[in-house]
Amino acid sequence: MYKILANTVFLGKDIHFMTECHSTNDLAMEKIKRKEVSEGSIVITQSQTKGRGQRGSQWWTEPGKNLTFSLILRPVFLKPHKQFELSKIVCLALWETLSALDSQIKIKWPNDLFHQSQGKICGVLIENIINQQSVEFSIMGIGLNVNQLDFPFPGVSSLKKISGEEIDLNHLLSELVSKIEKWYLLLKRGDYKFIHGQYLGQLLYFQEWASYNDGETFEGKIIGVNEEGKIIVEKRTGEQVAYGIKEVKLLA
Amino acid sequence: MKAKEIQDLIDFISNSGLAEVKIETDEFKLSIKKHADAQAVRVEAAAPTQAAAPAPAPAPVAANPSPAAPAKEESSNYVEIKSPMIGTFYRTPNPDSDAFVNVGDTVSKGQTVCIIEAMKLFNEIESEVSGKIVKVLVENSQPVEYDQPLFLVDPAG
Repeated sequence: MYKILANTVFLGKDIHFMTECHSTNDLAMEKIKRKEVSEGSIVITQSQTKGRGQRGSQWWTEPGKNLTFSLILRPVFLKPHKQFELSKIVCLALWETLSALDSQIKIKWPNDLFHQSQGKICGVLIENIINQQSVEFSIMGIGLNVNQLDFPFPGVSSLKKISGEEIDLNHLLSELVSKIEKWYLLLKRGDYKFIHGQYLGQLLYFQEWASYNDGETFEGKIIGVNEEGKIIVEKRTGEQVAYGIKEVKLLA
Repeated sequence: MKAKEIQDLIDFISNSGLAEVKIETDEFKLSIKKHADAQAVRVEAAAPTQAAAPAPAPAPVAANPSPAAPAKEESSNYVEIKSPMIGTFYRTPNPDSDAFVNVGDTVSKGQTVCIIEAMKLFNEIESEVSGKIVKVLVENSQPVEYDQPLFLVDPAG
């Protein structure tokens, strides 16, 4: 179904298409271990039966309506402690592709794409194989809601729900992968400062007051993201706190 | 401190069981950290105000490594698998599956021994040694620091 991508230099030249599979990330991991894939390979499906979000949580998708795929990279130039850069570049590639369709789409820390009035439209699940020195493999699992209109829970949307238009999946995939390639090459070149600035610039509620809960409800604004990937939130009191996942919740 | 003295110190440390050594005197600050196959050395000049103090620098160096000797003796046959990053340690691929490795299991180089998660990035950690798992040093779903030992492996096992 998906054609080999023509608009990229080295990503998307090897596409493994399945009409149905449990999870493209799991399948990508199996294929890495069996040495059936290399840098730039894509595992893509029309229907993901056991798609995963965060550890233990499910990602739900209607067959044939959305983009659910995993892209395999080998960022061996990246030290394990610098891996949050991978989150940044994939979010920036998604943001660049999607914001061309709607300007209200922002990056929601750490790695969701979020429409400011409609909700979440894309989730990313990155799984790496690392050793002491470097990131040997990175599997970038992307679940992007494209043409699906009905969702079983609120706060979730799709590109069609936002724009009203049916979008060609193959074309969108090729646009997106070429953007990932662009940002990946910037990372490879070591443009950390530029990438960081762009990531902050597209981050939802960066330098804006919003309500959070860290056990207590408070008003804060995101003033930065540290190397580990934690957000630095400044409270009204002037106190600055670094939060990891699940340590703080955005209320509105 | 002379270049030769620094070199001798590095040689001494690389042959010892110490992973990291920090020395600070009025004249200089020296931090040496040992990785699997690389050494990072940092020498910083002390603050200018202290530069006048003529402390005999190398003296404490020779005395320093001795307290660590017993620790080396204790586990000299075992190798640690350490965490290459800060994150949360998981022994299983997902919440309802078996552990990657248990005490008594034999692991080979390149085999996945655990997952460390940080900010929604999930990392399978590959063992860099072959041998038998002697001890699991961290509880499932506990936070781990950079370079924290996770497993004790007997390379002869």
